[in-house]
Amino acid sequence: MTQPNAEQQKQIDDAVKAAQSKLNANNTVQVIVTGSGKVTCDNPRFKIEKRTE
Amino acid sequence: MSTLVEYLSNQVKSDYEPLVQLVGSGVAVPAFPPLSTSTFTLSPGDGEFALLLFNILYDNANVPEEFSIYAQHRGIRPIEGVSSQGWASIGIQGWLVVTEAQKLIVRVTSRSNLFQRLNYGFQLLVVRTKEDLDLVNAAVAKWDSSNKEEILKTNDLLVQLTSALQPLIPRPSL
Repeated sequence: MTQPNAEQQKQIDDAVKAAQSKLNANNTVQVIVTGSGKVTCDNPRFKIEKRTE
Repeated sequence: MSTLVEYLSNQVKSDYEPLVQLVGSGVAVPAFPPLSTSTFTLSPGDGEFALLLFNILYDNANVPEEFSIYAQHRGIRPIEGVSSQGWASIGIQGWLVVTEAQKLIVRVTSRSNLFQRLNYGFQLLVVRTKEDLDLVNAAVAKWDSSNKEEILKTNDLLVQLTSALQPLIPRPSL
């Protein structure tokens, strides 16, 4: 197996970065908050959805 | 429902608006990540000055013993332990007066290797303004029950409430 040339390596790196970025964007945890008060979370992966009845 | 909750819920201000509102609050995480810790903070929302928290509810449909939970407020830990099915309703000693300066911090650690559902909530009275909190203090001081046994039963709670309803004044910035 031959080593990728510079152009191929760049394409691989770009593909990996795009995949990581997509993974990070989708790698969130849903938190549903209802009722009174305000709830926050220290974990940036946790996306808080405030729902009103 | 505690008689003190009922008493405060029935108090009205001079403009006939209710002094407090009895409400609930809930937090649901459909898929809590395995073997991870997250910290949630509860504070008053828009148009709310204080939350008088008197009960914590834990959904007993959650898988037991999969979460280690502790709550912290003003240096005390009203809740600390591993979740179990018996946690459907967690009575807490005294009341927690949650304000912007004194938030309730709940730290949850998943002990499971799998994603788990987490669902818990609070029962609380919402106080809209600082003046309303002063009125709540006054109402608690005047609170009387004709039932002596009830007084004995709730005396501890009353003492804890009246001492708890003194919010700390935030330190001025330097």
